[in-house]
Amino acid sequence: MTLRKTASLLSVLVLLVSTLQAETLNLSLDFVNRCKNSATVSIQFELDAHLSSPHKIGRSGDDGDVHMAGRAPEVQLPMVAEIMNAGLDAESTSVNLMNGTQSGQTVPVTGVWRIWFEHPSPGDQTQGDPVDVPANSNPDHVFEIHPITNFDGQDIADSSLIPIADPNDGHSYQAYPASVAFAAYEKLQASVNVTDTSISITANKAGYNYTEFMLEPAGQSAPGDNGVFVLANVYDLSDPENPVTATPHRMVFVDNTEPAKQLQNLPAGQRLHVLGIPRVNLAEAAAVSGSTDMALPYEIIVVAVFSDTVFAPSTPVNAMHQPEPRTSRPRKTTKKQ
Amino acid sequence: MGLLNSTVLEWAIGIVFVYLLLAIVCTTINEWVAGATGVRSKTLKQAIDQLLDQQKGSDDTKSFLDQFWEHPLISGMKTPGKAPSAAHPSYLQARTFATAVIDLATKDKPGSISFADLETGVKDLPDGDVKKALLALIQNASGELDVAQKNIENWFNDTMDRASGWYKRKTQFATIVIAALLTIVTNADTVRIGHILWTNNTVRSMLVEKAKAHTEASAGTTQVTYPDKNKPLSPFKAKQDELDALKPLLGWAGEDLKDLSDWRVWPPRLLGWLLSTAAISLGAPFWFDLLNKMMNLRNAGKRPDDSPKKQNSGNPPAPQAPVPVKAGG
Repeated sequence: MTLRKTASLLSVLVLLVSTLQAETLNLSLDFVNRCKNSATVSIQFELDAHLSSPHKIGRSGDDGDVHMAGRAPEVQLPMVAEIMNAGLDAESTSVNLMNGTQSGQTVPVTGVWRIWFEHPSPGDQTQGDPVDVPANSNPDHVFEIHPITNFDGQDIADSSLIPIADPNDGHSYQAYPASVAFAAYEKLQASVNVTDTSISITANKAGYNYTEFMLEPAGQSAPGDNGVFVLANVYDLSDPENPVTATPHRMVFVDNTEPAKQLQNLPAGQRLHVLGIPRVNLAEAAAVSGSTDMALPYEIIVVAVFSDTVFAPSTPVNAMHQPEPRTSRPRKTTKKQ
Repeated sequence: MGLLNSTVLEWAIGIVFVYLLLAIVCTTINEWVAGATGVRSKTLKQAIDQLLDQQKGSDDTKSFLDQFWEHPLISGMKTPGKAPSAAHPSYLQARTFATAVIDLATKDKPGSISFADLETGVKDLPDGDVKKALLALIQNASGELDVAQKNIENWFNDTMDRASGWYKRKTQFATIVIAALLTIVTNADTVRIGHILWTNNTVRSMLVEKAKAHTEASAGTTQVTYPDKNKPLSPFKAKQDELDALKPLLGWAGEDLKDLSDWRVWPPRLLGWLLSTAAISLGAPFWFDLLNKMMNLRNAGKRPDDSPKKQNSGNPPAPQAPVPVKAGG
């Protein structure tokens, strides 16, 4: 066997093992009850490591975010936090503040809490166990704050929760189409165990961070903590007739962001073209009694809305939105396009 | 066949399934009552008050206990908008407790501290039970700050073990009361239920089918749904159809009400209620485990082809059993 073939085989093996890697996350019930109907959390973030510049913008992990890793007494889990659209001028103050921190310095951070088994660790993670000082900006973690809405007093909710595009040349981030991302989300399985004091969730590695889709509310929205929640049907951009999931999923809109404003002004029966990221739906996990195996309960954080595609379902979609190429057109950027 | 697939086993499965569903309802009501009355948070507060009382604070204006509750690590966990007595957290990590206590003992030393700082801080506390306890705990720390913190965490955990006992005793009484009320309201008379299940094949078979569906659902296809699409904050684990299955067995029909004046029906009815109350009080996990064992026993007599297909064929391997979070309250 050639060296190349051996390397390919090993790569496939590593990929397979990492895909099947299951991790158990043990959360305190008190924490879950505080978070389950809340869009965001506020923490005192002990910032241990960070990137100095944002990811480039392309597809998959090249999402224009800037990563930082640290610890927080309010979370007590390995964690990272991410500023979305970190290359924009509007975010430069926050990014500069981040770059100016010393390792271990505490910074007040508010942002969307997110539990997703994207970077599981080999062992279990239990809230309250000692958290190792992260060695880099992206350690094994299941909990993250993504996106950050306020960094060290800088409110970036309105300016950063917009479609991702390169501020220099305007080229857009290529998110996963709903037909691909939601098909993967729907296949995820979990073991959930709820006791008087804790919730344990065991799940395999998950992926498909950003997805672009149409959502149509299936009911009225309801205010939660720091955000608005609504059940909505999900449509792929290329198929406005058939929802990609059998049942509506819960969508999370963060207060004082463009997506929340757009939802508030959305006429009944119309749709929003959005960019979203998945997170575990703790409200659904907490509704389980005892121990059970189930589809991983998830909801979508709506992090951006595209202004060009609010349309009535009866309107021919192609007349208002050309889905190819599947790229996101930014609503606004602070640098020239 | 024989006993394994007999009427007796199906009858027993029916009875256990009825107890399980009623116990789930009882637990749900109990949790709601505990949440509404703040029993858990009150018990935690009572335990910590007992632990840290009898100790003056370092500045003489406030007790150590008051300073503890006002510490940012602790006060930040209070529920905003609630009355002070009800705002206390219902859960506290041992690590958070120890960190707050160490911080209070070393108030004059901001920033990072050493074991010597902690020792000095504790010795500088006014005389009191907490000072004595902390001195004893740090004496056994071999001069290591981490070990001292661990000892304080263990001190807290020991107290919480006792507090868990108090909480269980408090909720146990509530469970029995709720189980008794549920029994009477639903007329869950074990004697009558047993009689119906023994004599009515249709009801018995339907209940066994529901029990089978329940155990299989619990093994892999649990559905959490939103019964009202306008209420996205209230997901619900669907159970309605199972409760519907109990209709032939529970409730107050006209004949039951007529019988109330006949003294001869009361001894078996009281016995039936007593048995139901005791059974429901045992809790849903007990009946769920028993139901699973009985369903396995029932399935044991079948040919291999008849046994349910392994649910996760083609799915990822079964996950490991989770490690529970250390309970703090």
